[in-house]
Amino acid sequence: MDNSRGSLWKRIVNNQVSLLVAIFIVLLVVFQIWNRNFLSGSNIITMMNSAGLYGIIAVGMAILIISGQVDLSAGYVGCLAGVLVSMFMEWYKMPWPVALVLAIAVGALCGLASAALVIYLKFPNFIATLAVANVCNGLVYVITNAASVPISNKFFMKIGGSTLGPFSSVFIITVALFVIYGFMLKFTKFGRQIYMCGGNPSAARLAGINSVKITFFAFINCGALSALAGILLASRMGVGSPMSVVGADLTAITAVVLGGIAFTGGTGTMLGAFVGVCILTAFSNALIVIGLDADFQIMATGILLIIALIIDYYRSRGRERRMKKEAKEIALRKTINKEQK
Amino acid sequence: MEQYLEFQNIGKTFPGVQALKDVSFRMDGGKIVALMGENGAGKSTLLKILSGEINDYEGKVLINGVEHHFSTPKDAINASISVIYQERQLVSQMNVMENIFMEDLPGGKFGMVNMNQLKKRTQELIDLFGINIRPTDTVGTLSVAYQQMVEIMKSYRRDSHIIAFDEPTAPLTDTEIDILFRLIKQLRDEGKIVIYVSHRMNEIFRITDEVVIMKDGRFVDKVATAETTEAELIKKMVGRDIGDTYAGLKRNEHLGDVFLELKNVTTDYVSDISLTLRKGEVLGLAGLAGAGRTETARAIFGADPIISGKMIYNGQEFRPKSPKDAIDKGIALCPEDRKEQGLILNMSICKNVSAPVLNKVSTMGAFVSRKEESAVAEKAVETYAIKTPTIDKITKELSGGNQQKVILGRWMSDKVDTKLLILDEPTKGIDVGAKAEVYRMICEFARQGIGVILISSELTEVINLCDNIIVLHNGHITGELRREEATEENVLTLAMKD
Repeated sequence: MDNSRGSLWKRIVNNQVSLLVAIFIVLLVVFQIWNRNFLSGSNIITMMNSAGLYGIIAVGMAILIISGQVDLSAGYVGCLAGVLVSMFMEWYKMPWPVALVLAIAVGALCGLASAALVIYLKFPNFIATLAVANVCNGLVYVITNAASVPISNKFFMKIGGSTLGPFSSVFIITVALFVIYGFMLKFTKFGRQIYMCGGNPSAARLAGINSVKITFFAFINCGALSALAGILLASRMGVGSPMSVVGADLTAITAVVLGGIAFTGGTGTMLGAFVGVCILTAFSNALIVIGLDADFQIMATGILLIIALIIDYYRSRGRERRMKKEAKEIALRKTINKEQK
Repeated sequence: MEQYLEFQNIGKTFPGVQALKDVSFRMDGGKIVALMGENGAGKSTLLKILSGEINDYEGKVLINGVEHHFSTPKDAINASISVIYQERQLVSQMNVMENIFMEDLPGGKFGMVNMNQLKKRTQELIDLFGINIRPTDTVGTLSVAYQQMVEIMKSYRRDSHIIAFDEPTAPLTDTEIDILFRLIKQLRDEGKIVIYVSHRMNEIFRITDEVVIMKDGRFVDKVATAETTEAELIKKMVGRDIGDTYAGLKRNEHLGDVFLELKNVTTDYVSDISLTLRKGEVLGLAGLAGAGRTETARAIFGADPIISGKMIYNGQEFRPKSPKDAIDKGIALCPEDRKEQGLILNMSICKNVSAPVLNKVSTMGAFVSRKEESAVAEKAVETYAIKTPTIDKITKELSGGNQQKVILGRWMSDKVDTKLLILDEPTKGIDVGAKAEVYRMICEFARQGIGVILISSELTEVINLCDNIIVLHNGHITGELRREEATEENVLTLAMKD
């Protein structure tokens, strides 16, 4: 990386992830001074649960966006899975592991459908996933009659509703997923191919990379993880609600873009995405803690995203200026060399 | 009034290329003037200056003796200039009359469009040109030829005095060409200045009155069409100084056995392509832009499906289903558009070089080994003299020549067993020094026994590097030249043959 030189300050500014971590810490300190309850035990658990919920979707979304696609159906797929897992257990008396696997499979199927529409019928990904979102949303209401499905299985409720030391179970699962997928992206052949596919699909194809396979994986993976998020929420709440994770997809997209994953595909890291999730959670939670109305959260999300993109714009402009300067110097050196000859 | 258009000492430099140099000539109204020259002779650049698309150039453009400098295409339109490009500037969802009067719709009450008048005026135009379309036809449903007619009517309606056509007949059938020529002659007879850019010799002789020849961004000559011959025109278009770039090259003199054979291969873009390639041979694919050279290469590489015909590779019939198929068999392609199709620009040199060999630099087939990967990349940087401080430099930040070398390095590393290397315009947009290095590498590959297919628009390259040259036109082969028969005249004559 070209940011190995320069002062500590420059290094922080030039490395997106460390910049984000710095912002995160500043946020925590400022809001803690503002209200002592911000970093209290119960509020931290609240934040972890909220971060965990759309953090899981963010894992799938990050991979998908890096591969050059996007999924607007993740929230509705999550709702569908949450309701289905409850129905399978309560109405059809399935054992919980079977219900869980089946619900995740339905999520994966939704991803498969989106991928097929995008790859074979050349639908724009926005439209394809929007259509899948509507189908899922309608389906949830049809099968539940718009009513929540309460869960009675105590063990199942523990999966998403327990704590381990200071951490909530959902958060632990989320962190584990971030680590596993982060490792995959950074160190495996497959991860590298995901970046290539998003960075320049036609070049990737001409370099012998099977972009169809990668796109299918990214969509199916995102669908399955969205389903997992919905299931874990149902488990924590003890009820499969038709509206549980609506909107989590957009929050997840905001978080990963905030974390430095370019919407155009091909760049970004899981670590960045994770810090993006943390910042977004802490910021919107802090607004409530300091006494602002919950509606401000939504507004704050948008404002935070705009700020992040502005910072990114100036950083890349700086980089371009440096490049131009370098090119000029090289040209100058060339002419000097020529004259000397 | 007698109209005339004059270029005085026009010059234009793009980064690294002198597109036009000291071009001066005059065109008179009431004549159809052809603009001829090889790819890259500067015809398009000149048209772009005329249409206001390029506004930072040297020299003067004079219309009827008055200097004009167009900052935007709108300025040029206001000065009654129309340039009709191959890619039509029409809104295909809208109808004929809306397109013709696009920026000047006749107004009615309350700011609404006066539909009756619009229809009437369009019908008048259609009648004038005697074309069989209705004002209310949607442009997108018309054939390509009629779309072009709509374009012409648009410039006529604007009362353009200078109308330039850029290869207008390329997509047209013979009958459609007849209609187009009738219109063009009509424009001429009204005293307008008509500029006609085309590569097709028979059209030049059929319709134009004068021919302006350009070469390497310079004006060569202006001749009356009636007083010249095809051979003379071609001679004027070629024959530049070759220089000594090719002098010290060590060509491979020992060709091996035939290992690639195409028999009547047809895809969506090319038809009936037959060729053979020997080990250690450099085979040139020549032709004008759009002749089907790239498409032939894409068929061999599995990027476009082969519809009919046979490809025999290493003694066996082989029909690659995808680029991956071809790569697995040792076929490599360096595409023409480095930035769009070759490199993944936001990735490092190292990652770009290792892209097709990730399998071989990964442990257990899954985990990329940084050590092995860097070794491959370091070797490529060293072998091909890629100028960079580190293999982790992002390829976006490299010069064109170095980017090209990264792609060469990708396919020629010792981890890939490349037997057939296809190079599509490998020296496009790179400087002379880098060009010489690429030539040296091509000869080196051939000496190693690799079969090379070289696609290039620079005739001197094809002539000085290739053992055999296949010339294409309009998606089919028009001739084959051996090394000793290859001259620029011969290649160009075949390239323009219908």
